[in-house]
Amino acid sequence: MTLPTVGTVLGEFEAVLDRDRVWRVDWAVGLDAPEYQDPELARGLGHPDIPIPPGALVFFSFLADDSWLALAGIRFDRSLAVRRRIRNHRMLHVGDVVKGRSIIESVDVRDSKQAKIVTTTIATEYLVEGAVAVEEAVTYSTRHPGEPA
Amino acid sequence: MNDGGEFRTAALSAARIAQFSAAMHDPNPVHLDPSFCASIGLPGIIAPGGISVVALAHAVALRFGAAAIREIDLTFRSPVPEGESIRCELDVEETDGPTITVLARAVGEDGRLRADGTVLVERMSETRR
Repeated sequence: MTLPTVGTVLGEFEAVLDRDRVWRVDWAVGLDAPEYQDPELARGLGHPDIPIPPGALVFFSFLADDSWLALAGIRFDRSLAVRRRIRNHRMLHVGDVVKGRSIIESVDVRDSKQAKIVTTTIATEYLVEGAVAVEEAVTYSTRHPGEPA
Repeated sequence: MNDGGEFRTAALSAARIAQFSAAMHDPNPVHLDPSFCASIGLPGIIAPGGISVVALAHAVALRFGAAAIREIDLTFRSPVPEGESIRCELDVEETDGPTITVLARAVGEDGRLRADGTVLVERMSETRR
C-alpha cells in the first residue's frame, strides 16, 4: 500500500460559477428558494446575481479530470467521504470567477483487526478577486483489508 | 433546545441524486450505478453527502440568513438511501458572543442519524434571508 503524500497538489482550477449548478442543487435537494431560481428576485434582495447556496461547492467539481483519485489514494469501492468542513469568508454568486488549488492536507493511518484505515483530508481554497472566499476540507476514509501499511 | 429551524429535503429520488451529482461533477458511481453498489454490498444507490451539507446549511440559512454562515463542520454518519427524505434539526447554543453555534443533525426517515456537526453563525439580525 502506497500512502498518499501530504502536500501533494491534486489540481488547480479557474472557473466561472454558473446558474446551472444552483438550479440543479435547488431542485435536487428541494430547497425551493426563489432567490436561487430568479436572478431579478435575487437582485431585489441585494445580491449581484443568484447566490450560491452555502455548501454547494466541492473541490472535485472544478478539477480537470479524475487523476486526483489516484493521487489521494481514493477508491470508490473502499472509500467514503466522512467529514466536510467549510469556512466562508464571503458569499459567492453566479458569475464569480473562482480560482483554487486542492492539496492533500493530512494523512492518518490506523490499524484495526481486519484492515488498515487511511484517513485523508483534501483542502481547497477558493479565491475570488485575489482574496480567499471559501476554505474547504473534505476527509475520506479508505479501508485496506488485509494490506500492510 | 430545538429552535424550530427545521427543514426537510425532497424525497431523494434517483433523478434528484443524479442532478446533484451532475451539478457537482461527482465521479463516485455509488450515487448513480446500482450494479456498482451491489458489488460493494450496498442494497442500492446512496445520496451524496453534499446533499446533507446543503440541506443543513439551508436550514440554518432559513433562521439566520445565508450570509451569516461562517463555518460548517459536518461528519457523515450513515448512508442516505435513494428515496429518503432527510429531516434537518437544529439546536442553538445561546451565547453573548459575536458567533452563535448551531448544532445540526440530518436524520433519516428511520430515525437514524445521517450527518451531524456544527454551524457557526455570525450574530446578525435573525430570520433574514
